Order: sequence, then C-alpha cells, then structure tokens
Amino acid sequence: MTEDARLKLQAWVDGELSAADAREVARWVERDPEAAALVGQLRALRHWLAAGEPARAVPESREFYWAQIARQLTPRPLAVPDRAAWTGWWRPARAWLIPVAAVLVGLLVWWAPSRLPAQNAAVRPPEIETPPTELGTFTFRSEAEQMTVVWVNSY
Amino acid sequence: MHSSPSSLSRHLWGWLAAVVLLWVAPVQGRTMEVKLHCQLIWGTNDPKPADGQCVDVDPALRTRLARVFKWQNYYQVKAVDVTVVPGTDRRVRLSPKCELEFKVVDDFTLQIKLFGEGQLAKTVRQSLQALRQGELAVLAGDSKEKFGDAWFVVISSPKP
Repeated sequence: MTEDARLKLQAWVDGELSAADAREVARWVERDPEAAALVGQLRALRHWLAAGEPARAVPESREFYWAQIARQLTPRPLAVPDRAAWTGWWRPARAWLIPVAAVLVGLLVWWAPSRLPAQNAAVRPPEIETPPTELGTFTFRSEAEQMTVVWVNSY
Repeated sequence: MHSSPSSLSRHLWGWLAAVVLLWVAPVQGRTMEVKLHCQLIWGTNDPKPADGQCVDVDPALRTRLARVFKWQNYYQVKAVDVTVVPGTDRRVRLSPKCELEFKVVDDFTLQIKLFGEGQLAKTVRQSLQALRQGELAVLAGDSKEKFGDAWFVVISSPKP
C-alpha cells in the first residue's frame, strides 16, 4: 500500500474526504482486507487518543499566555537617543568649530617653527669664506653654552 | 533656493576661516626684520682699567664666556642694537678697526661679515632660529694691542 493510499484512509477515518471520495474509499475498504485492517487500527488509535489523553490544568489562564505572546509579537519602539538634548549643545559648538580650528591652525603655523629645536647651527656650517691669506680662522661650537665661535688668527 | 540662517552662518564662518588662513600664511612666509644686539668685548685677566671706557658685561654673559675661554674678565667696549631689514645690507662700526655688515639671506640665515681695518676678514652665516633661542654668535681673536688679551664680537638676539 502506498503512502498516498494510507493518507487517504487516514483522511477517510477522520472524516476529511468529500462525499464522493468517501464512498469510493468505503467500497475500497470493503474489498481490500489490508485496507480494512489499517482502518481498524486507525479507528482504535483515534479512540484511545480521545479517551486516554489526560486533562492537564495549567495554573495560568489562556488570556495570560496570549498576553505574553502578543507582547512579544508587538513591535517595540527602538531606543532613540534624545536628539534634542544632543543637538542642544552641539549646534552652537559646531558653529564655532571652523573658526576655532582656523585660529588654531594659524597659531600653529605662526608658533611651531620657532619652537623647533635649534639644529641649524650644527647643520649649517657657519663659515663660508676667509678672503685674506694672512688670516686664519677656526670655528667651534659650545653646545653647553649655546655659542658658536669663529676665532680669527692674524699671522 | 533660499539658504537657512544657520547655513548662511556656517558659510560665513568658512569664508572667515579661509581669510584668516590666507592672512596668516603669507605673514609667516614673509621674512621679518631682524633685531640684533652687538657687543665689542675685551677679554682679559687684568682688572678693569680706570679710564672708564669699558663697562662690565652682563654677569650671565661673563659666565658663559668664562666657561668657554681662558679669560675671567670681560669688559664691554661698545654695544649697538641693530635692525636688519631683509634685502638690505646693514653695516655697523663697533670701533675704528672693527666693523660688521649684516644681511638676512633668507628666513633662517643671517650673514655676518667682519671687517678689520676696512678689510673683509671673515664671512660667517648664522642660524636666525638659533639666535632667537639664545645662541651667541661670537667672532673673536687675539688682541694686537696687549699680548694675552682678546677681543670678542658677540652677536645675540636682544632680550624681549
């Protein structure tokens, strides 16, 4: 017996078939002992399920359960930050952002070069020429005293 | 389309910032005039002469010089404050025999020419940035008038 045939017998036992289909299945059950045996089992199962299932009483009412389900199904509003409070201080601050940044950049451009370490004295050789041949010079720098000395010797 | 007042204000600030930047950048890039303090100093271990032509140098400068050189006494013969305008040479006479000529080469470099008895004796270049931060440019030599003594030309950035 196929699965479809078994399902059709189940539907007949449950009374879910149309009148025409029900008459056809009834004739089939009268002719086929295997079908009749399955119908007998299905009817016995149906009887015992109906008679043997114990009644369970739940402490909460039906309305209580449904209220919880309904609460879960109902879309909750998202937690939106208080935009008014956020923009309350940001809007005037934003208006000052550009000028303050411009002033800071200006001060940085003006101030930063003078604060760079004084490496130029060492990097740039201070001595470039000694025209008279009767003069000799030598240069030295005292790092501790921040002093560049060109000593001129006359021979 | 009309702009809202806040949008206008924002644009106004943007233009203001641009103007500030355009104003600041050329000022920074422009070579400024350079102020210098020049001193002709006599270094010796002898006491100060009583003729009154010399004065004691600033104690801080004396200490710095004495730490580098062998002399303990430093007397100022002459001091001159000089303002050097970029693009021009500035000549200064410290004594009948000693002259200096300054030139601002660029934003960072000062050129100093030392003339002895009218003749160019030495050309040096000094970092302006270092001068502004307290560096001393010293030109010096043995004294021809008195054996064992020395002369010093100390060039510094004047204290504010």
